[in-house]
Amino acid sequence: MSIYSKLQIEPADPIIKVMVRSAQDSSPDKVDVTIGVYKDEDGSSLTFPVVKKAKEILHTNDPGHSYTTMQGIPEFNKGARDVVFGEYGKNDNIVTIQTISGTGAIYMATNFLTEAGWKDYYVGNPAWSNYYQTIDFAGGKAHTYTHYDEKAQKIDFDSLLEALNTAPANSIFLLQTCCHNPTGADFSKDQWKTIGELMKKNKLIPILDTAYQGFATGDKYEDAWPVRYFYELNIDFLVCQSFSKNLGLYGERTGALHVVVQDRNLLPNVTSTLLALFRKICSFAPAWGARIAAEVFKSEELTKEWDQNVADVTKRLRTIREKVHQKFVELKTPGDWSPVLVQTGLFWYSGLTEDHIEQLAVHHHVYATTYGRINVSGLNDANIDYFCRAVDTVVRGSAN
Amino acid sequence: MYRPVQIRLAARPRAGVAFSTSAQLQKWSDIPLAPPDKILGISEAYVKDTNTKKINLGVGAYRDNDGKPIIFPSVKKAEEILLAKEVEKEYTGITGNKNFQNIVKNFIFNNSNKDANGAKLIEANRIVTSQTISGTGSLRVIADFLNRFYTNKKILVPKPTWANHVAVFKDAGLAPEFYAYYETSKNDLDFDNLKQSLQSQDEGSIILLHACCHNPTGMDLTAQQWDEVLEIIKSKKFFPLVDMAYQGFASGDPFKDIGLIRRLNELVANDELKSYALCQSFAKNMGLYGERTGSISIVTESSDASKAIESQLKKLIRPIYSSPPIHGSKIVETIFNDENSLLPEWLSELDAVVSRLNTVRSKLYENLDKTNYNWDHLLKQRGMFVYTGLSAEQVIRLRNEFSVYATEDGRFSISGINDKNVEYLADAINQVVKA
Repeated sequence: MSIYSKLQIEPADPIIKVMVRSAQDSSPDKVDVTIGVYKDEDGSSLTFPVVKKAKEILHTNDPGHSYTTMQGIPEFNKGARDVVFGEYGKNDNIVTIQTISGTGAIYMATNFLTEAGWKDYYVGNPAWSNYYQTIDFAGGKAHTYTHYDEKAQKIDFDSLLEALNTAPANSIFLLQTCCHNPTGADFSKDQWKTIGELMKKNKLIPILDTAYQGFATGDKYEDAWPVRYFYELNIDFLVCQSFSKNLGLYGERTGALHVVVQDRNLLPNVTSTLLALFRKICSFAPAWGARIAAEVFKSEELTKEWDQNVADVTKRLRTIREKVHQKFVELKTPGDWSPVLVQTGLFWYSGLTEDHIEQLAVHHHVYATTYGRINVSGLNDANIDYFCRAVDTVVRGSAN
Repeated sequence: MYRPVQIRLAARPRAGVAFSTSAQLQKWSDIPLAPPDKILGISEAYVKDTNTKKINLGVGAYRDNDGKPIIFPSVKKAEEILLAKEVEKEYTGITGNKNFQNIVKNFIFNNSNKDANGAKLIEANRIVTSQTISGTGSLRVIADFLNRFYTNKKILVPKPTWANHVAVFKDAGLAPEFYAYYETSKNDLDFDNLKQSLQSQDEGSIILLHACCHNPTGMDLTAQQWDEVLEIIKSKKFFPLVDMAYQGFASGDPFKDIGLIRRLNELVANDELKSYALCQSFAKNMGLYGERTGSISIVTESSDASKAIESQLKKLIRPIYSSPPIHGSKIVETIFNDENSLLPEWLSELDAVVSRLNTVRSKLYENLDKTNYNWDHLLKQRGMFVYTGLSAEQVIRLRNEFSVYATEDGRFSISGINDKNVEYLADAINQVVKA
């Protein structure tokens, strides 16, 4: 008998199936709005101009490829902290470790909390599916509530409140700060304040996941407001940060985990536990992306340019949303299409059904995720009209 | 939440929620302050030392004759090409870029068209390769994989071995156990005991083999000795897990250093062995340390098994880090895709690096006092290290009295030695050995 006889063939992530179908479709009309990567007006992936500059600097003043430190590249860690904590970044009670981008940060956060003895997680659905796999991997237990009411097309805040009020102390809540993946539906400041107060009162542990900082308002500082607000609550919490989107460093795997510690006596315990965990999973985080980011953080000029790059991207996303909405109004497409305007970031959680999505693929060369998440940046002046008409057709088809 | 006593007292026990306060208190007390990694601790102490003659023999990273880290010129050229044309920054798949996977397969298993058995395995789709977070990442992925799917948790590792081997395997749920490898009192391989300790094991364990430049001893098996060990592996039905961190550093030629892989391929092709796995990285031989560029390959029993294994690797890696970093792997791809210039340039640069290490090794040997201590083992050892046989006390004296920093197992990373400090170092060693 084979030593691998216990193995099953695992089904691929559904998004992969869509990508494969899309790749096989050579129609000039093809519109692909599946994966969560920013596309520019020409439909190609964008290298941020500021990243290009940072790379040239690195090429000239080549730091080489030596081992970094296990905690990461110090200038990167400092800069990353400042980006997400603002004026509080310089405070001495935040432990930062460079990670393998956002997934790696969540992996480290969950495994760290396992070491600390905490295992109960609360996740609002729909959620990024990898949350569940990571929690499971860390030996945690996931409990769910509803983040988004599909029928009403808005946040189901009551469901979260109930979870916050009934979860045992030291339960962990995994919350996204902005541009919620996949729904694009974010909390208001008032809602954040309610969440924060309950977290503090009920002694809950927040993990704030920030993968799209800047893509909600176009202003990174404004988008990080919930992080600063939580910091002001003087509670222990964790922040998972990725530069995949807002610096376009996707494949370089650049991110960080920040752990806010109220009892400063425990800072060495937190740091050494993180390092010991990291040593046993990969020893060091990859240098290149972090060096690029650090060049941007260090230079006032490049930082300004980065701010502008992010603002430009966000402005374009906003414009597309308005155009899509306008088009549906013109076409008198049945249904309420206002959520496309309300939602933020890369994704529009369209409410299109699996059947709609299938018809879009089969009859119109339009590819989106089966649960109706649409990457807004995949749309542009050349295809918005075609896309909206296709959606209009399938929606009317199913209405009959 | 990091204040266990207070918080756990404040915890509100609820019906239906299992909350064992005492168990958690014990858990917390188990993890007070994790000890710093020994090797990196030495680097930190070295940095703080103000003695101008200080020497760092701790970290296993290459330094040139001026004590500086190098960028392989072929790597720099590859980066120039990437800088000029790179537009694509998107994610690779979970297991990395196909082109990178194929390069690894062809370079190592097919020995660049010199290994017919390996070529056959590739052709039959019996090798699954995934890009990983360098060597540590590949070890971690295969350890988690074996823990999930392999029938046996016991993994036999040589004594001594890289300390992180044991830590990674344990953390992934495997049970490491030593087999005899090296006899420090004789400063030599302990081959008889090696065989005996393997023979005394139950069938079916996993066995870790260092492909070349054994870390930390630098003492490798001869082809003849490998054959004897492989016989035991076959009869005991062990699962071989090969770690190859220093390919090229034994002979200067990466193709010559994979004799073990070629033998394993032959055994699999002849159906004498069903399966094995290989962890490798380009950290040392291409100097890509910080870029974290490596891979895990599993040689499987059939193409059907390959499909299942690949899907399970994806499922395993996704929650850990989603996809690997691309800068280093693109450098590898760029070099290998240019067979006429960049690839041969890299090979000759690697050869030059290894020949410097060998020169330094001989110079150290020449300068050592052999009247009271037999240093012949230095000349038998290969790779980045000399395993001196010095005691922990002697290593500490070297540190305190001479600002010579090395790990207390007496492993010296010889790339920290150069023309300017070799005599100082030899003199320091001679003094601590004499007294």
